[in-house]
Amino acid sequence: MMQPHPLTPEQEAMIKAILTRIRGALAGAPTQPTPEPAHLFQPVFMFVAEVQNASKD
Amino acid sequence: MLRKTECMVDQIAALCGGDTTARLLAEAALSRAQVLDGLNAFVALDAVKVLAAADASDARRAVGTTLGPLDGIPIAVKDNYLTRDYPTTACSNALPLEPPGVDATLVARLREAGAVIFGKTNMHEWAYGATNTTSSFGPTCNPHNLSHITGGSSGGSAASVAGGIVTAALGSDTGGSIRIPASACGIYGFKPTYGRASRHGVLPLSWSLDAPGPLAASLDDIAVLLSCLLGEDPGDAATRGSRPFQPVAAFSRTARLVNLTGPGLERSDEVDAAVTAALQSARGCAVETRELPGMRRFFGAWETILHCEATAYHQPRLAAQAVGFSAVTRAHLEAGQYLSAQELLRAQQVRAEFCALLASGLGDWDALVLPTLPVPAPAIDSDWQEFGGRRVSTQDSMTWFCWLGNLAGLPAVTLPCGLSSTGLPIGIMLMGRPGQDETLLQIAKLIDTAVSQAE
Repeated sequence: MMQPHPLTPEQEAMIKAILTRIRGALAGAPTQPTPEPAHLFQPVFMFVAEVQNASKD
Repeated sequence: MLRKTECMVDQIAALCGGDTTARLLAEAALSRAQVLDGLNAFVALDAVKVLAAADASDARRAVGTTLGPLDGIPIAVKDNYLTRDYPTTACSNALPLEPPGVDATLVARLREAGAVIFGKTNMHEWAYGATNTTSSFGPTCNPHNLSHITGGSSGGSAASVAGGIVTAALGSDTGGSIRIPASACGIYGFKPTYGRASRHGVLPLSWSLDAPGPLAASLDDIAVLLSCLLGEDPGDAATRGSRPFQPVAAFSRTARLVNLTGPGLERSDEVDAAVTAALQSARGCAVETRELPGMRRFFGAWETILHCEATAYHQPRLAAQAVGFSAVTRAHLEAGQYLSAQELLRAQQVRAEFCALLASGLGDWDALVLPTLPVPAPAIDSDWQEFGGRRVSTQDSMTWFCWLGNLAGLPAVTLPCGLSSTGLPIGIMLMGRPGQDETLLQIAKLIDTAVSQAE
């Protein structure tokens, strides 16, 4: 896809380095689901009012 | 050292005792901001608005109708908080799409407590970096040495406190952006447990990692600020059911501290020596050293979640204003577009593994201990840092330890614990159990007291 503002070679190299690092780091990650800790298992909805209104429908 | 010895609680006492006025505090802060203009700490500061708010505070005090504990106290605000009376730019030329003219919840809470909003502070563009050298307003300079960075992304907030312009400021923290500049500038910074401080009106970087919070001149200042800021907010569902900050009595039993080490947690010798000395001198603490395995994988999870959420948030802006971003920030956002849903879910699994390890794999602990930074504040023009046998980019050296607290949502605090051989501050970081922000602050006081007595 043509981008209206193409990336520079330096930016392309930076993107490649980021993705290589991330994918290398996660290569040994577990494949079985792990339970979420209770303190993180909470909603992170950005628009709480919409969610609350929706539940009344 | 540029930091004044005055703390916010001193200012509060002086106001209550009739020894000063809000106008005098505001005038002093404006004067010092002018003197220290070279720090580049502020991106918007309107003296007329500041003095009008100060005069309103004095008028309230004169008739006994003060609003709260912060009435008349000048407090600076990072430029990613929406404010009704200042523009919000996130220090980028790719501008926010959010509507102007409203306050973020935490800014509104400061005003409800009577604070005088003291301008907007410089930051790393969109908080997507930790050096504060990438900003549409130019880099922020460290008050201890103008040729060194403040760290970021709340670098302007840290410089404004460390320079003695204000005694407190608001920042935000996704991988250490409160703690990093606080440590580099020799002040105090507190990242609350995820979900205890409202993100409403704080422009996101990564919504499941972001935590807004205060930087200040003392731990007592931090406690007063948290009392005004924390608690449930209908504008942020993550705060649902969270309680306000309720100060607890001094820590009465021995605090169990786990000093973390291992591959990926290296630090320079002088940083290690300062942190070790602080721990050895603290009374009422039992310190155990434990290795934390899997750092590379856990960091990969943090980085994946960060890039995916940031790119998701910025997608409309990236499509419409790509050239408005700096080259580096745009590259980070573009990278997020190549990460798959499967990779994000894998990262979330690793995140859960990390939280489980901290919850039960390190024994029974009250606080985890690390240096806040592996090195003192680097020079502005330095791209690489060397420590512990590693060569690391300056950007990665800033987030080296701090992202751990964001990945697990833990409360975390940094406090000064010494100076380097070149006179730059060194900080120690404590991370507490989720929701135990009050206890963490009390443990931090044990360390802070020991460090103060040793000076």
